[in-house]
Amino acid sequence: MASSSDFALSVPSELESVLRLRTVDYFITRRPWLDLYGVNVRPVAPFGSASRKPYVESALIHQCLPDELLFEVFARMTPYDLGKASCVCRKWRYTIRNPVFWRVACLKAWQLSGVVENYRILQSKYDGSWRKMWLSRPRLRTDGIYVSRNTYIRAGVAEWKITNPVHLVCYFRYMRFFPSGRFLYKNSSQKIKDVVKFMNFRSSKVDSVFGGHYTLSDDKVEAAVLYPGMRPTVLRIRLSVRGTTPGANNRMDLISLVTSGVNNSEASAPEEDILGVVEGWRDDETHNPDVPAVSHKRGMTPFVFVPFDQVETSVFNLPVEKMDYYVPG
Amino acid sequence: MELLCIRQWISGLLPTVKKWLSAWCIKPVGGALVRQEPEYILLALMGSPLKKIMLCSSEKEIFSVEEQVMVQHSVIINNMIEDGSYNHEESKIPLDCVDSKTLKKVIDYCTHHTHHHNDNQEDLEAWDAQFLNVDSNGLYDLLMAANYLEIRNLLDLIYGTIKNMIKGKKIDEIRRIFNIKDHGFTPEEEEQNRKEYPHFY
Repeated sequence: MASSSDFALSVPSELESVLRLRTVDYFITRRPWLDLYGVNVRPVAPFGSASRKPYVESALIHQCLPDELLFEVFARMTPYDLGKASCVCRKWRYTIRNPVFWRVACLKAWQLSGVVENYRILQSKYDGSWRKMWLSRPRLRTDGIYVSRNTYIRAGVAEWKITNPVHLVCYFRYMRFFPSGRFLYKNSSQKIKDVVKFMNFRSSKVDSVFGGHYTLSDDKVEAAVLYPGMRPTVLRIRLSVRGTTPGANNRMDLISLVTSGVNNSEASAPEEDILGVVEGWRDDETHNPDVPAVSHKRGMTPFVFVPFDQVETSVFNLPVEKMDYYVPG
Repeated sequence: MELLCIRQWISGLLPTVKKWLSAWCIKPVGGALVRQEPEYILLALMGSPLKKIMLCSSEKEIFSVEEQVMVQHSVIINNMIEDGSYNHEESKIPLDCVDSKTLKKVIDYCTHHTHHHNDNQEDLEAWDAQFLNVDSNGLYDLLMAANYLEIRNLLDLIYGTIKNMIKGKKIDEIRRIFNIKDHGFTPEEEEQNRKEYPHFY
């Protein structure tokens, strides 16, 4: 039996008069909403919003450092590290959204197009957002090496109990690009951690690293490298760049790989002109009858990008027996 | 006074004097060291290199530093002294943004780099690494002091150190290093980040 003492609420005045009139005890109908009248309820911010909790700043760097100095720290980082830093916390994400960082990165990465052309593309394709350009426009990464791992099986020599031996041969194509329009190419069975120190312009002929020139239009790369020597050969490589996540640009598919001969006058032309020399050549064209044009069909595995700081630990260093046969996605 | 005797005495001192001068990295002023006569070298010795200036920290502590040392490193102090508003006898340069502990460290850095700028690169870098072996609080105080005084090479050094704390590390490590307890993302946002960029985590 409920009695008036059970009720926390005070009996509103309009009912009191009624109570006094009757002699029988009526149960007071609970009207809990009457309690809320006149009480101020503070709105609660949605979970995760900045105004939800009183902002207790635990990180020393945010307490001590004014925003301009944090900006200066980020100004010295590579775009890859900037992308990483913007996942660390909200404050950093908002600081890194500043278009200045992305403008600098874009103008450097696509310097071959020229500043004017880059601004034009910015307005027409990417809504004036440098960050969108960085994430969506295909580019060739220069902070590491593109590696294509190819394998084939070769018959071995039968000996003792092994009657039909086969060897799994593994070789790599290495390509390193520079923003200036040059690139380096090496074809070898050496592992990436041994090759990386030779992939620069100081390498000698012994290291068999060859330099060439490339152009990038949209996602298509046209590259040409000259193998000097008695029978000068030009290697023409066509690739298309893509990425596993937006902005990653970590895969290149080989569209065609053609070796053909060049005649002596073309071979002695300055190195920058090699692309101009082979421009417009058909796939079967060769300018040196000793070197037939060969469009290679094997060894066309897609290239995978390995950044410099992952070269030592990359799976590409594993010996053949321990490698997973995988198709790069 | 026999001038010849004095001359002989001063020329006897010459090798030692030359060694002292090169140790203090004194730049020849005008033609003073071009002329090798002993009197001129002695004059150079008595001149400006040992001039000191007074810096006053936010805690009102006065530090006396060689003028050469601070002028070489800090653009702000260089400007103050060059435009003549600093009176060597009386003035102190008030640095209200810098506390004593940090100011002492900054002076230490400038003095070492002035006196040892002929050392080889590795020794200097080793000293710099040892110099920055401070806790985070001290590091940020140093950064703000270097920013205020516009000391280019100290600024670059500290920015480089902070950049290296971020570079090459996974996100959770970075959060631990900088003590960022609350990353401010909603659980959905955080999960999406982890899915999209697994190589960062």
